[in-house]
Amino acid sequence: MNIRTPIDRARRSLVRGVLAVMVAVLAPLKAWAARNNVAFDTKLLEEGIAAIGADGAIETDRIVFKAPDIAENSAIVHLEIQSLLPQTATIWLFAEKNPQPLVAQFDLLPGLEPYVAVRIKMADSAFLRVVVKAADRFYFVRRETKVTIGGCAG
Amino acid sequence: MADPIRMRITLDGDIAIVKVLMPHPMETGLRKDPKSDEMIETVPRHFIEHVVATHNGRTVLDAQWSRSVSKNPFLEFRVRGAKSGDTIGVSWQDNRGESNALETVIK
Repeated sequence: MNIRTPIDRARRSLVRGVLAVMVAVLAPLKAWAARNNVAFDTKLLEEGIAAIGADGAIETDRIVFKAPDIAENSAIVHLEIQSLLPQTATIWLFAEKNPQPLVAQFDLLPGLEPYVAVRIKMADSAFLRVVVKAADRFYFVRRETKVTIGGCAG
Repeated sequence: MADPIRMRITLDGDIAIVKVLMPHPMETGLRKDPKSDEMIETVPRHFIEHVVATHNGRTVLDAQWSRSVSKNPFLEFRVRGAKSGDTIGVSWQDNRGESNALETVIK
């Protein structure tokens, strides 16, 4: 009845091996940082800013934020952000009129230049706001981008 | 399984300029309601919510995204202290738990 053949043993060790590989592959995913769901879910810019702790942010010209004055296609708006602030740790990007204004959070670890470029969707003409946390203080810059074709679908 | 990530790296001194394209629908779920002309949630959201970049296996960028990032997301970042033979990795995970990853050796 319950006699283990060599094939059984081989199968068991194979199962153990596969499980070990799965654990090894999945482990890094668990180490990923927790998402600030409050900040991402809020529908108001001010609440999003408060949720990241940046209500006292100072406006600065030491964040270079390249955004188009007019976006031909609201589904693909190319943005470039470069921080000139020492010890830049985190960059947030908000689009004021989007259903949830917080578009992205970039945590910069040692070895990364304080620069990111990304393409976003805009629901409507709006101010785009970049918030930077540098040396434990918050700074921001904003630019108005007008969209000629509305909508944020798909 | 999503289409593979595409990555292009150029070295500028010791800075690796990394440009990445991640094929993904980035579905907001929103469509215009023909009756009210308002945007309403009609199909399930499906978007990349987490992106991690590594240099020689060490995390250098950890990004959280919303559904407002464009379809087939483009991302550019720059890694200091990089040289030929180093590896740059990019991985993403979406709100359905699907994921993809790519590692590229700098030429």
